[in-house]
Amino acid sequence: MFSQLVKHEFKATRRLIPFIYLVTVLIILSNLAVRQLHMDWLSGMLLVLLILLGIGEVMMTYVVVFYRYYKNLYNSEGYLTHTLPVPPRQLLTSKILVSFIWLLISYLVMFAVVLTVILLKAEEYDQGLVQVLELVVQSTGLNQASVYWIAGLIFAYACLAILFLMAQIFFAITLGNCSRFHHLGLGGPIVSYLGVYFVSQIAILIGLIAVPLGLTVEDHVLKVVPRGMAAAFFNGQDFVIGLGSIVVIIALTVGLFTWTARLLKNHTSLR
Amino acid sequence: MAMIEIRHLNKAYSNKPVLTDLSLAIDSGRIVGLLGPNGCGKSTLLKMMAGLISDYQGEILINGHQPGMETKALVSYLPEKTYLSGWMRPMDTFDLFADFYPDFDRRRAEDMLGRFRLEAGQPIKTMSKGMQEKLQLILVMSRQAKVYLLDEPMGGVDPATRSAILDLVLKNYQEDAVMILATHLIQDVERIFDRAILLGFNELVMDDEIDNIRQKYGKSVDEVFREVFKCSVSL
Repeated sequence: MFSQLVKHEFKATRRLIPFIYLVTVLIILSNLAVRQLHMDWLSGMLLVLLILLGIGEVMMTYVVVFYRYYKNLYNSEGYLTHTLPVPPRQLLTSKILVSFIWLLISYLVMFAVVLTVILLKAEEYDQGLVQVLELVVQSTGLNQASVYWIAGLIFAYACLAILFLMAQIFFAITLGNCSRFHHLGLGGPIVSYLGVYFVSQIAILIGLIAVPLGLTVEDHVLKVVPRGMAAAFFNGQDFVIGLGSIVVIIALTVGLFTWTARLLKNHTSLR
Repeated sequence: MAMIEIRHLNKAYSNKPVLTDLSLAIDSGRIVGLLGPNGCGKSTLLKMMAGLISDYQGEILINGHQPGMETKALVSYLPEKTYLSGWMRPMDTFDLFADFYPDFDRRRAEDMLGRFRLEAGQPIKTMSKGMQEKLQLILVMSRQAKVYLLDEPMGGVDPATRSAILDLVLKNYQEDAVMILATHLIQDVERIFDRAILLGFNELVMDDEIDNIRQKYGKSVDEVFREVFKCSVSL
């Protein structure tokens, strides 16, 4: 049944989201095509459009996946979704998986937009894309292995950030649609989100400072050390980037998804 | 054991009770009319049985199970609302039902679609409300379910279609199944009921076999309904 849920989730979302990506990719290609024409007004206009689309396509994807979650579970479509003979856990997991894939693609498209902008700007100074990227790497003062390591870490953190935001919003929508919040209408999910956001930020801050796990640079090499940011603040030790917040974000993400599945199972109440 | 057992069921919305200490038992092979004025809890009761509302006190058992994954495979539920996405076409809805309900009979659904003169490729968003209701009824009645819960199945259709819908319901109803039909249009449908449950505000007003009601009051169920709830309004 899980594979069927995933199939129908893709079927329901594939009409709009890929269209947004397609438009963005077309604008990227247009930008690359017109650079030889030396038509500054057209190049400028297309570049502005590309930057707006790069930001817009990620935001639109978020709006689509969150609205889909609400509509499919708590609006009229919920009357069908909640009567399917599938465990609520599978229902939630299918939505997490499909939403995550779309959002990840949207960030990859945005990354392509950023690279295109760098390429176009670099060409104005007779530089290539590779040269600019090498310059960026050199300016960090890190060796090559550390650069790859940090790139992988940024990718992993981006994935975690997507999942964490999804966990917060899915939870807020689910909690806000429990019967005790029905009288608040749309305010239910909004109030729930503000509450979750506030508690999460405090927990992340505590994790960042208090958890003894961090990143530091020693002899041009990035190292994980058993020290948090508190050690740097209060004991005057070497500066570290606290990784405790990541531990907290992972715990919050798992916790919120688990809580959401429990709410779906035990506190569903369609209006 | 009855197919549906409800014991001491209580449900309130924002501290306002809708159902209070309701107990019922419904055996297989019965068509039951769930009747009552607006806001008396008919739709709420059906939603609880369908597993759409899970925060209540008391017990609901369907074939011995509390509403959940096992019962959703047995229950075919038609809500009052249109629950299909606007982009879908009837053929997409058939795919969806075939994927999730092993008891869905696609051939029967296609046959009914033709009888109601609906097109398999027409997007739902371009259909009238009546057409959408017909499609939903086709989906629900194309399942060989153990329990059918129909909430106002004829609310948005013309009188001529009502009769066709009733025929469709009767023709496709599994004889060993339970059907609970909530409606205001009692006159149109009482001929198919075996039993009537009249819900008032916070109370079970009447629960009896149709023949007994007619014999006891010397009137049709529709007339009894009008009399009972006319009194409650004047009070």
